[in-house]
Amino acid sequence: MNKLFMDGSFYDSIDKFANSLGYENAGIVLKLAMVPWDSPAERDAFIKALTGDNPKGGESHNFITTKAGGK
Amino acid sequence: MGGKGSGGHRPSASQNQTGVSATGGAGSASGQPNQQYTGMPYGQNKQVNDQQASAPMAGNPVPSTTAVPINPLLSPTERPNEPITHGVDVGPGAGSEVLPNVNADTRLTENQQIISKYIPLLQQAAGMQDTPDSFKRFVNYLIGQQ
Repeated sequence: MNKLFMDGSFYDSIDKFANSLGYENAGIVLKLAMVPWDSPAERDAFIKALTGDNPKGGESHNFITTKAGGK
Repeated sequence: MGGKGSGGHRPSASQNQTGVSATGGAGSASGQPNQQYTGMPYGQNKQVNDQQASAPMAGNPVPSTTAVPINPLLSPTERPNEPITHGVDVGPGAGSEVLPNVNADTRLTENQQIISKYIPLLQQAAGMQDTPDSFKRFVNYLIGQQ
């Protein structure tokens, strides 16, 4: 897995916020991704409280890999 | 023991020499307790008490408010030359374009600023191996907004 997108990383947060809040809210997506969340769970709980739904984006089936047998 | 009506210490208002009002006020009409200090060296009691009187306290200032008069609902118009439909998209007068655009969507401007600032970093991340498709879609959206 791309280390940039480790759970709780800046890019992972961009991915989760963008796909949960909507691409048209890019401004707030970037700002929320810069928040020093205590943990990915805290961030995800915030998203759930805001949208009423589980965070979207970044699921494993979205990962692209060139490894043989990988998804 | 004293019998009925034997007296005792019964302070009344006239005996209250503390200069402090029992109702929480400043204790005098000037808003400042009229303390009469004694015990100073000879000749200085009057000087201290005169000094007190020459520097009155501010009291309890009340901020003043200026009320803007509001016309009654059925009062005559203050803009007799302006059609009642001015600012509305129907009828005589200018349309809604004359109204201040207080509900303008600032997201587009904000997005443009964010895109121009962060798009190089985001593009770099989107081009890496194993980057989630969902992230790539977001970056593609931002590129399309430029």
